[in-house]
Formats: sequence, structure tokens, C-alpha cells
Amino acid sequence: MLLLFIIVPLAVAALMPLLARIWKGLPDVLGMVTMAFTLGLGLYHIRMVAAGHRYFWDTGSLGLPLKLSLAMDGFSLLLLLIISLISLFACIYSVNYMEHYGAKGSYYALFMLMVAGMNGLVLTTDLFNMYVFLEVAAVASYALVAFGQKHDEVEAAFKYLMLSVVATTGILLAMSFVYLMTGTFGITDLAYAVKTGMNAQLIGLCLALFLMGFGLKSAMVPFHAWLPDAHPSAPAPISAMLSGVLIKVSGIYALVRVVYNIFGLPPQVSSALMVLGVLSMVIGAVVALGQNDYKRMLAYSSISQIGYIVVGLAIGSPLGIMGALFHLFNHATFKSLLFLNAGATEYATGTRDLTKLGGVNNKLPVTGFTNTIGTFSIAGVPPFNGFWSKLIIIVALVEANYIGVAAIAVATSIITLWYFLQMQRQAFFGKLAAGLEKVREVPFYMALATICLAALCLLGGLFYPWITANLIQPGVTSLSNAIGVNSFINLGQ
Amino acid sequence: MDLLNLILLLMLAGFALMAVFLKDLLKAAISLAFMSSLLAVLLYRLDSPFAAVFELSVVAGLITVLFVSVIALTKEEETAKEARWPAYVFPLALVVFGLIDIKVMQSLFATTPQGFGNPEASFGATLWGVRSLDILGQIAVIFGGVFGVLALLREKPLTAKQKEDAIIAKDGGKEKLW
Repeated sequence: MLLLFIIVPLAVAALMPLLARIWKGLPDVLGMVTMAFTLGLGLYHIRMVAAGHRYFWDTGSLGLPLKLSLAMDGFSLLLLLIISLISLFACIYSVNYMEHYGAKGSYYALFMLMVAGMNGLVLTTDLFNMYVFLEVAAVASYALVAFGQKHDEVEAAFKYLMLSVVATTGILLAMSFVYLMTGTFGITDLAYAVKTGMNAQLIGLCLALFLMGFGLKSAMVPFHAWLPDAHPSAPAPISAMLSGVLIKVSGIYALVRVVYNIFGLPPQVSSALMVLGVLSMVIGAVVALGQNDYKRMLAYSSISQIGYIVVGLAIGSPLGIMGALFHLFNHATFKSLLFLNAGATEYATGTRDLTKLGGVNNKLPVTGFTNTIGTFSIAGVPPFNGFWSKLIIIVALVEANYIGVAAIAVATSIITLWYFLQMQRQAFFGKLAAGLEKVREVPFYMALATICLAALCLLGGLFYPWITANLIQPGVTSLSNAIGVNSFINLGQ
Repeated sequence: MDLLNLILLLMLAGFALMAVFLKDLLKAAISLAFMSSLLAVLLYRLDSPFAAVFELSVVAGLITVLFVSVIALTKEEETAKEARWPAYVFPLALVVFGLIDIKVMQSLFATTPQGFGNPEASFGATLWGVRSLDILGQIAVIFGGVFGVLALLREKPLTAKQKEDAIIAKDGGKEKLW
């Protein structure tokens, strides 16, 4: 069953360019159906995982000569749901938005590959498999960033590629050291080997390399240089996927699996993560304040919000982890919404320069309304989802005696509200800017995707007890166990 | 360390540097091929013949052919101005990295346990029987490369102005009137 999360998008990707020749609309339909299928598969597992069940699957039971092992716990399921959910809305949005780019077959093929790569990364129990799937998702995302073929897009993709190579070199080097010392890549075996006899100096070196590599992938400050170019340059649904999902899967998820499940969150790493988290939170927000390009502002805001997640994870307490995982889920919803809105605004007006926009709320009522919801969610205004996750992180910080960091988190939230309200005022309210008289609301599918995501932001806030109990808590339990009694999650090795 | 291995390693680093710093793309691609061939020799000498064959056939062979073909198809349109600072900073960074590397490796080799893995297992059995998921990932990476090339080298969609010009060029603008 778990293999379907990888095989189905992969098979659809392989067939997509051929099927696209049969009927022009088929890539759109196949994209949406595939993502709805993986989402359904994820939703099907919620009840059992919430009850404490962990899934493990391997080919041994099928009597095949191949060896494929996959596992799913609460943390994996949360990420699988985020990937499928945001991918589904990105596919819906792409129906209209990607029309003028052409080559939808290739576009969806790359999109499905990116999803297959992320799902593989989340489900594997082997460190080297993680690296391979990290590359699958990355290779597809480089091409998707440059999909528009313009000079800026190709340049941003190249920069992204180069810095990603630096990241994966660090990760690969750390993996080689770990293998050299332990003779295994299995996450559970590694946790045992590390605990029982790995050289402390080498553990420090490996952790530094992992932190650098996954820090680059998740765009934490000071490893963030690629993100403000790559994310705005990509087509809007891809920006939503990159900021909403990819940096979390290939950066945060992979880092947490390594740091929590293998190394058990040593105090030095916790401190380093706290420093990186605070730096990301503050620098991302302050730089976002001065941006005139809507999507670039959102990209810096992603760096800032990743900071919140990292700070929550750095605390290491169940409440901190809960805040971090809930914010990870919430950020995926509101940041995707905001990137899709930025794309919708550019689609309708031809610009994403905030100084050239103004007063388009009456012309773009759906986009304006959903953008307001996204703004309130990201700024942590009650009752939207961002409020609860930020509140939990701040309470966890206070509880763990990080009063100063809690104050910084509150201040950053105010800065976030400031620059988002400034953007909202510049782009949507006030007098209609010259040349925008003929602007019309975006087509149906684009509007539908943003309405659904906006509804999720609101429902996520209103029904947060259900979400935290059924989606977040199983992940918190998995990660707390990983570091709690110095034991580790049974990933089936 | 074996003296020959050390010489091969130094030559490899030299060709890698040439691949980065040579202005002529063709020469850079050929330097890269030399670097890869030396790596293949090193891998062979370090008891990894299969990795050596892959390195030689794919990186030194196939990829070099691709690079050279693409360079042959490219015309020079404009010369990009390159920043000069990497030429100064890079060697410095390399020396610092080398010093750290030597220090780390010395302590690493002093504590490295020997004899992991199963020397009896064949390459095929290990690849298919133990690393099957990696093969699936590799297939996906190859698909990613192919679809990426198809997507990025596709014909660019025409802008409204280009479409208009194309129509005028085709039928003298009659269609535009409609």
C-alpha cells in the first residue's frame, strides 16, 4: 500500500508526455486525479496512525527478489498529507494558469516526479534512499523553476542548482562518514550504532555537515541565498509547491529525521538550531519588509516562517514539537495560498511590482478576499490557523525558559503583520492604479484553488483541536520518543 | 597512502580546477572528461571496478559526448562578464579546505573500524537485492533529466507581438484584419 504513494505519481509522470498527445485536457485531469488519489490514501491512514499504529511494508512478504522497505509513522503521514493536499490545489490552479506556458505534458510529468521524490523521501527507512529521493525531487524542481524559459528564470534555476549541489555534497559526505563508521544506512540501525560507539568528534562533523546541507535545502539563514531568486522566478503553482512543501520535506523533514531519530537531538545541535531559527525568523521578516516584488516578499517571508518551525523543533519539548509541526502544516496552507494569489494578481494585471499595483480589490474580489485571509493567517491573527501554531511555539518557548526568544517571536509576528498589511494596502486597496481599469478576475480553476486554501486556513483555525489531536499529535509522539528516553522510532529496520 | 594514488588524486584535482577556470567551454569539457577518467582509474585501484566502469562510461563517455555536441551546436552571441573574485578566493578556500580535510581524515582513519559489508555478495545481488529502492530513485532521476530537457528546450510560446508579426509575414496581414 505505501509503495503506491511513490509508484502512482512516478508511473503517471512516465506516461504523461505520451498521454498528453491523446487529449489536450488529459494532463490536467490526470494531475488532479493522481493527487486526489494520494490524498485519499493519506486520509485513509489517519485514524489508525492517530490511534498509535505505525505502518511498515517491504517486498519480503511478496516473495520478490527485490528489497524495498517503507515505513510510515505520524510524522511521515503529516508530511504525506501536506504534499498531497498542496499538490492537489496546485494542479487545480495549473489548469488555467499554465495554459500560456504550453508543454503541459512535460510540466505535469516534472510535477509528478517532484511529488514522487518527496513521497519517497518521507517514506524510506534508509538514509541513502533519502538522498536519492532528495535528488529526484530536486532535479524536477530545477527544471520547473526554469519552466518559463526566460533569462531570469533560467538564471535562478542555475543558482538554485549550484547551491543545492553544495548542500547535497555536504549531506553525501556526512552519509559516507556515517557509513564508514557504522556500516549501515538503516535509520534505526544507525541510531543504535551512534549511541553505542561512534566517535564523538566525527558525530560533531557529521552533524555540522547535515545541518549545513539540510539548512541549505530548507533555506535557513545564513544558507538562504538561493530561495529569494528561485521561488519568485518559478510559475506560481511551483512557487507554492517549493515554499509550501519542498523546503519542508527536503529541508526540515530530512533534518529532523537525522537529528532526532539518529542522533537524538544533542544539546549542541539544539542550541545551533535555536540560533539559526531566530536568525531566520528575524532576518527573513526584516528583509521582506523592504521588498516591492510581491513574490520576492513572500520568499523572504518563507525564510522567516521556517525560522519559527526551527525554533519550535530546537526546544525539543513535546509542546515545542507540536507548535513546529502545526506551523509546518499551517505554513504550507497559507504560503501556498499567498503564492497562488501573487500568481493570480500577476496573471490579471501583468505585474507583481507592488508599486505599480493598487486598488485592484474591486476588480479581483476573490483574489483580494482570499489574500486577506492568507495575510491574517500568516501574521497570526485569531481565529486563523497561524495564530494557534505561533501561540503554541511562543508558549513552548516560555515554558522552556527561552523568554527572550519568545519576545523575538512576538515582535517578528508584528513585523509580519506590518509588511503583509503594507502589501495588502499597496496592491489591493486605495485608488485604482493607472492602466489597471480593464483588469478582470482570474479564471474559475485558479479562483477555486485559492478559495479552497483560504477555507483551509480558516477551518484550520476553527477546528485546531481536531487537527492537533489527529494529525499533529502522532507526529509529536514519534519525535518525542525519538529523543525522549534516548530510544528511537521503530522504522522497521 | 600509495604514491601512485596520490599522484592520480593531484592530477584529478588539477583537471577539476581547469574545468572550472578555463574560458573555452570545449577545453573545460575535455578537462572534465580527463578528471572523470582519472577518478575511474582511482576507483578501480580502490577495489570498486563497477563504480569505475560506470564513471568511465557515463561521466567520462556519455556526458562528455553530450557536452561536446551541445557546445558544437551553440553559437557565440555575447560574452558574459565574469566576476574576478572567485579566481582569488577559490584557491584560498581550497587550501583551507585541504588543511581541515587532512586533519579530519587523519583522526578518522585512526578510529575507523574495518571490514563492513559482505565481500562475498556479488555486485548484482547487492544492487538488486539490497539497494532496490535506490534503483527506483535512479529511474526517477533519469526521467527527471529527460523531461527537464524536453521542457526547457521546447519551442518558446510566441508573444502577442511575435504572433502578429508571424501572421503579417505569412499572409500580408489579411488574417489580422479579421
